[in-house]
Amino acid sequence: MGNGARSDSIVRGFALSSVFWLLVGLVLGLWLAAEMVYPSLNLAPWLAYGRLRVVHTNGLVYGFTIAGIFACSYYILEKLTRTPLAFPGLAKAQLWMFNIAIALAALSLFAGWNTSKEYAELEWPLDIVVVVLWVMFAVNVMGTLVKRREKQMYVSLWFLIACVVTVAVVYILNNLAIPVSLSKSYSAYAGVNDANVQWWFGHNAVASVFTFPILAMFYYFLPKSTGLPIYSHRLSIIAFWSLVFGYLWTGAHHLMLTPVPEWIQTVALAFSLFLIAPSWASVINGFYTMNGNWDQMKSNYLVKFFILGITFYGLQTIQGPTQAIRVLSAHLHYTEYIPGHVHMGTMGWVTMVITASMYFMMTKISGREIHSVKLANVHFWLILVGQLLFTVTLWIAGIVQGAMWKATNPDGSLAYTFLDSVAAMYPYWTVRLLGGLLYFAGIAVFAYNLYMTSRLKARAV
Amino acid sequence: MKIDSLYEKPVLFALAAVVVISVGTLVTTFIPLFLPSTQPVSPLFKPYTAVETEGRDIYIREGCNNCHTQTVRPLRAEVARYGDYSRAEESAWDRPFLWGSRRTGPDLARAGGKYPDAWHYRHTANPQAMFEKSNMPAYPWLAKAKLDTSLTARKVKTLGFGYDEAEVARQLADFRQTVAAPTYPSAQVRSQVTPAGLRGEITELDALVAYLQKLGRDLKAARKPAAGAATAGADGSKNPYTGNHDAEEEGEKIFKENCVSCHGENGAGGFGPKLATTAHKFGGSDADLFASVAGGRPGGMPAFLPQLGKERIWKAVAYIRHLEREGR
Amino acid sequence: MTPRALAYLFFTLLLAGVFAGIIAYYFNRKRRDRVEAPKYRMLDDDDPLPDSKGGRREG
Repeated sequence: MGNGARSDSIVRGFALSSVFWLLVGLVLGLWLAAEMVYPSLNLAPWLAYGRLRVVHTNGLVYGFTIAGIFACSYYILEKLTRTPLAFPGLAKAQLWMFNIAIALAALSLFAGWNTSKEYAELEWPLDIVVVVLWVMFAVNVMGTLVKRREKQMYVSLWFLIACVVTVAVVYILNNLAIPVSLSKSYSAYAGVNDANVQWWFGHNAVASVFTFPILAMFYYFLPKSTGLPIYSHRLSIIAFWSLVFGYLWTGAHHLMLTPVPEWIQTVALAFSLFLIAPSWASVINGFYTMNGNWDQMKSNYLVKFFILGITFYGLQTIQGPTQAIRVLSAHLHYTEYIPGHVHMGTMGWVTMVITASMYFMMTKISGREIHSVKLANVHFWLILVGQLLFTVTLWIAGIVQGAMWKATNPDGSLAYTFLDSVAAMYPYWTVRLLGGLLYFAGIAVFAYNLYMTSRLKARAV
Repeated sequence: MKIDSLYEKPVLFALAAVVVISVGTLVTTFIPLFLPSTQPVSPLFKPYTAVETEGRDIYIREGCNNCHTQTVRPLRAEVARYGDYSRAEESAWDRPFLWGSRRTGPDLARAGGKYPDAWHYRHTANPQAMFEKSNMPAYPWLAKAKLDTSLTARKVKTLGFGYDEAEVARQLADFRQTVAAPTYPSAQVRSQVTPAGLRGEITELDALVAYLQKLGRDLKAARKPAAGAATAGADGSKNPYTGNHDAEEEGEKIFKENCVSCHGENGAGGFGPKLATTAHKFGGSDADLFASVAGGRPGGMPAFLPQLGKERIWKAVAYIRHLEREGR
Repeated sequence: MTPRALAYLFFTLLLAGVFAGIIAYYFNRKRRDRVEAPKYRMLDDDDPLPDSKGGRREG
C-alpha cells in the first residue's frame, strides 16, 4: 500500500463494484425506456416491464448507490478520523458478500420473487442478507469513529451516522413480513397501514440513501477538491438536525388524496414544505464556499460536478415539496412528472456527486493524475445534457398527461379516453429514450476514465 | 459545554439521531398502527377467495403495480373515468397494499365486473390486438402455466381469511369446474388463449382474471345505484341526431375509440353483441340504446355516461343506426 | 378555533421555537471558533496514518 491508508483496496473494490452495477442498471433502464415505446420488446417473462423495472430500481439503489456510499464512506471515515478502518477484514468480507447479494437479488427479482413494496421488493431471505451487510457496515463505521484520533467530528461524519441509523430503522420496520415459503411472504401490516409504513420507508430510503450520504460526500469532497473550507459549519449543524428531524414526517405526501387519514397527509405536507429550509441551507453552503473562487468552475474539472450536483439537489428539494401540495398532487401524481422528478435527483444530484467523488478518490489511491481531464469533461456534458433532456421532457409529458386525464366537456363528460393519453405520450417517451442514451454514453466514458485511472496504479508499482 | 460534546461522542450522537428520527416516526406511522380508524374493517368488504388470492400473488409477481394503481382519488374527473373513489375499508384484507404510484396504464380499483372475463383473456394475452396504441406487455405465458396451488391453504391461513383447508380445496375444485365447463360464458376466448392440455385445469391467467374481477366488486354491491338512475330523462326520448350525417361521422369516431374493442369492426360483434342489426339484445328504441350505453348492462357492458356524456352517447347511437342500415 | 386547529398551531409554534433556539445557540459569537474549527482541520487530513509503514505523502 503506497499511501498509508489501509483500506485503499476496499475503497477501490467498492468503487469499481458500484460502477459495474451502475452500467448494468442503466442498460436495464434503457431497455425499459425502449419498452415504453415498443411494447414488443417485452420478450420474455423476466424481461417484461413489471419485473424489469424492479431490477432497474433495486440495481441502481442497492447496487450502484449503496456500493458508492460504502466506497466513499470508508474513504472519508479514515481521512476524517485520521484512523485506519477498525475492521478491515470485515470490510473485505462485506465487499464480497455485497456483490454476491446484489447478483442474487437481481436474479430473484427477475424470477418474480417480489413483495411489490417499492424499493423494498426483495423477499425475506435477501432482506436478512441486506440487514447483515448493513450491520457489518455499521460496526466498521462506529468502531472507527470510537477509535478516532480527531476530536471533533466534521459534518460529513454526522450525515454518515444518520445514514447508518436511518436505513437500519426504516428498512427493518418496513420489511417485517410473515413468510409462507422461501420466495413468498406477506406484509406484517394490512391495507392503509401497509401503505403508510411503506411510504414512510420509501421517502426515508430516499433521505438516507440519496440525501444524507450524498451530502456527506458533498461536504467532504467539495472542500477537498477546491482547497476551500466549507462556508459555514454552523449552518450545516442547523441543516443537519432539522433535515434529520423533518424527513421522517413526510412519507404520506406520496399518498395524497388516498384513504390514508387526512391529518397524516396534512402533517406530511407541512413538513415537506418545511424541508425546503434545511435542504437549501446545504445549497447555500455549497455556493458560498465558492465565493470569490468561481474561476475553479473552469479551471478545476471536479468543481462543476459538485456545483451542478448541489444545484439539482436544490431544484429537487423545491420540486418535491411543491408536488405534495394537494392541488398540484391531484394534477401531477401518477403521471410522468414523477419519474421526471426522481431522475433529476438520481441522474443530476446523486450520480454527479458520486462520480466526481470517485475521480477524486481514485486519483488519491493510485497516486496519479486522472487518466484524462478531457474525457471527464465529456462525461460531465453528456450526463448533464442527457439528464436535462430526460427530465424536462418527462415534466412536460406529465403536465400534458395530467391535463388530459382531467379535461372535461361542458356537460361534465371526459374529453379524452385513457388510450388517448397513452398515445399522446409516445413522442415524449422517444425523447426520454434519447436522453437516456446520451446519459449512458456519458457514464460509459466515466467508467472507462475511472478504470484507466485506477489501472495506472498497477503500472506505477 | 455539554451540547457541543455531542460532536465528540459518536455513540451518543448515533443515539441522539435515533431519538430525533423517532419523533416523526412515532406520530405519523407507529401510533396510527394502533388506531382502529386508520384501517377500519367493514363486513361489506369480503376477503379474497382462494383463487383470487393466487391471482393477486400473480399480479404481484409480474409487477403489475408498477404501471397500474388501485386507488381512485375523490376528484371529479377521476370518479367519472374510473368509478367511485376508494374507501379505507376496501383495503382491510390487503397484505401488501397495491395502490401503486404510477399510471402508465389505467387505475384498476374498479375493474371488477366492468368487462366480461373474455375481455381480460384476450387483452392480457395480447393487448395490442385490442388497442393498437396500447404499450402494455403481452402476457400470453400466463395462460400456458398451470396454477400452483400447493401453498394456497397456507397462504389463506397466514392472511387470516377465516376459512379452512377443506374450504380452499372446495373453492379450487368449484372454480376449475366453472372455467373448464363448455357453458362458461367466456369459454370460447379462454380456449383460444389456453393450450388444449390446460383447458381442464386452472391456469395462472384464470386466477389473475378472477382477481381482477374482484376489484371494487364489494363496493359496487354495497352502493348499488337506484335502477335507471343513470339514464333518467332518457325514457321515451328521441335521438336529436337522427338522420344527421355529421353526427353519424362523429359517432363513428366515438365508436372506434370506445366500442370497437368489444363490439367489433362495424359492429360485427365480439365479446359484445352484434350491433349491425335491428335485433338488439336489450331493445332497439332510441331510449333503449341510450340506456344500454349510458347505464351499462349486466354481463360486461360498462356504463359510459360519466365518461362520454349525453351528447356523445346520442351521436354514438346515431352511428349505430347507420350500422343497422349497413348490416341489413 | 377547533381543538385540532389549536393543536396544529401549538405544535407549529413549538417547533418554530425550538428551531429558533438551535439557531441562536449555534450562531452565538462565543461558540464561533469552536463550532467552525472542523472545517479547517478537515482540509489537512491527508497526512499518512500513524501506523502506516513509510507511506508517501500526498499533495
